[in-house]
Amino acid sequence: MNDGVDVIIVGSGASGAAAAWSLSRDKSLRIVCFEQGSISKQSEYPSKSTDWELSRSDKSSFNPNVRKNSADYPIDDSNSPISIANFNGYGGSTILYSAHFPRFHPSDFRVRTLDNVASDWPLNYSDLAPSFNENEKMMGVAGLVGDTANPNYDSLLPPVPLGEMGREIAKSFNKKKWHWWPSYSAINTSKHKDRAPCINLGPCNIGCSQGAKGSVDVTYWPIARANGVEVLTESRVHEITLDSKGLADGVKYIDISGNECQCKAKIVIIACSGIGTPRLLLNSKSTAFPDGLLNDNGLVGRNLMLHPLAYVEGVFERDLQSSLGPHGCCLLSQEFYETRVEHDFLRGYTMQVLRGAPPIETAISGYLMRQLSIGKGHHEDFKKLFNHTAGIAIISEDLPEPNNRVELDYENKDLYGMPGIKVHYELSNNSKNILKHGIKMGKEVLTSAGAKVTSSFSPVRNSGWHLMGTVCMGTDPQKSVVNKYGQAHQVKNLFIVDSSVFVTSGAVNPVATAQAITLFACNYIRENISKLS
Amino acid sequence: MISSILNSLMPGDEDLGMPPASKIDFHAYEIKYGIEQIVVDLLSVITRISNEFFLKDFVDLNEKQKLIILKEVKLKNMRLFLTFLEHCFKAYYSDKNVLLIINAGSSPPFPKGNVLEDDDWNILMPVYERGPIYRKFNDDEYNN
Repeated sequence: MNDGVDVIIVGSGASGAAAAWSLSRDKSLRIVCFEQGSISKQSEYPSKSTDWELSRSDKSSFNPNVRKNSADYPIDDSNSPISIANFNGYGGSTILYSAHFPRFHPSDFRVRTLDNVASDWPLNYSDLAPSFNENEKMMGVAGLVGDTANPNYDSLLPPVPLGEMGREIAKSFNKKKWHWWPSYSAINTSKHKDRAPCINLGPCNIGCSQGAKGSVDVTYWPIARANGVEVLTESRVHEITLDSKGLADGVKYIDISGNECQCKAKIVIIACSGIGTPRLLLNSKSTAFPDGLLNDNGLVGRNLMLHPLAYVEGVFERDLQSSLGPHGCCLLSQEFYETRVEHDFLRGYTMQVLRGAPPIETAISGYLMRQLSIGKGHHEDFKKLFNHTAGIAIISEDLPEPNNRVELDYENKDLYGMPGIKVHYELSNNSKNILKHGIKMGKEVLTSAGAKVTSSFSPVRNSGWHLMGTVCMGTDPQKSVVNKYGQAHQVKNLFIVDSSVFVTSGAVNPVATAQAITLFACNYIRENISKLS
Repeated sequence: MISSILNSLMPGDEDLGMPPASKIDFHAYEIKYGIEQIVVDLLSVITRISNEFFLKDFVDLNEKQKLIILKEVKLKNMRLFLTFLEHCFKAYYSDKNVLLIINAGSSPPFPKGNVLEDDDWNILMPVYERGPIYRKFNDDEYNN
């Protein structure tokens, strides 16, 4: 690496992989991706054994403080009602995600103009539409064209099956005359790009042993690597370096053997997530940026958005085989996605119908919720719950608040001494009102479907998957960190392409939009590469 | 004694064809997940409380008395009790035979997966008929 490369990408997750693939189409570029974690082997995913549920509280936990892999860094989220979820490894959090793949709506990019709240994005839905389409083809996205709550899609793989439980709930939405649609899911419902089809195993979020889930290790990366992109795993970047002209000139990293190394590059792209990216920037201090790279306006790490989640669960009398099928993905409703005058909140939410809990979760939560006894009646109680439950998750649009933020935690450091992250986050009144409304509507749907509502609560603590807003984009360098191409206002050859650049959060899972932004940014980089270094 | 505790928590149910918890290999689970100390601690608490209450060891009690003791353990040492119970559930409901009986679908290593019947998407007609509901506006006006 001493001779330098053309492009460094930091992070091999959803956005890093999309960037690698996009830029690798220019075969003249030498591209290196640094990934602090290792490669997960499909053949070793816990879903290969009957005790797969146990891995969720162990090595496949989405909580880094539980998982404690060598690649993880400490995250102190004690000052937040929502704990952070992620995965540090080749493929990033797509390894453990449920593969929800909805797009942002056109209105999400214009919240200031339409609703007089937060800020408009410096780009719009039409700008991203070609990248949405391209990304969905690469990732393999199932769904149904014609959704009335979204602009039309070009094409999608066949939708994930609703199952008996899904159909019951769909009928209930129909009864209420509310919108619903089969989930948009990065799941191969038929063979796609040499990947096997989904066979409804269930536990998508501990790694798909079938390879049907569109995690980027099986979508973008094989092509990017075949195109020549080099990936250095277990190599931890801890600083972006600048040259005397104030341009990024590479990274400092700890290699797989624990040696301090440096790699020079003409362009640096950061894609480490909404907390990993600000962590790296804040740790990259220099005379030009004494408070952290690009942090001259104090915005790096601020405006953290997490999508506060509410959960409503119901139990049906009938066995609906509800635990079968992709666990996270069944159907969604965007009836209350857009702002309505009659609501006591701005913006809105998506309702996602989830499959029933698997056996161990059914037993444990059933006992804690006093629906399942120990002793003589245990099995009878279990029979009434297992495959009879349905859950609705309410994903609320989280608006940016400067005080919701991440900062370096110098008291808790990773294996090599780089500071961890401290999260400061609280729910706004708007978010609380959204969640309250969502719970009420979720209960109505379940009740109307004939289920008995057994629990409802918010915010769900272990749900901080969607990490957004901490390095936001905009046109004004005083009020934003990067422009619409993810290009740093202050360092023109430094790009940020993950969900940390989001201006607002929408009310859907962010990965489809984050990857579309990545492809949009990389088109710009490819077209302007000679002018960037 | 551990078998006796497991069976009190989850006795068999002949009508449903469910085996008692002692029929699964809890010892193997205990070793695999390193919970030996939890088991030792629980046995010690149970022994002490059953002798306090009934002047007998747990295994010598009748089922009703055993449940009284388990409830008392839960009251006096909730964290230990719940941790142990959680492990019982985990061991029991990850047993291949149990998963088969409760109809948990295709069991790992998943030879064929699970079949979900095809959907008739006419079920979406009421949604279609209502027409688009997303917010439309002239975005060109706001283009940067």
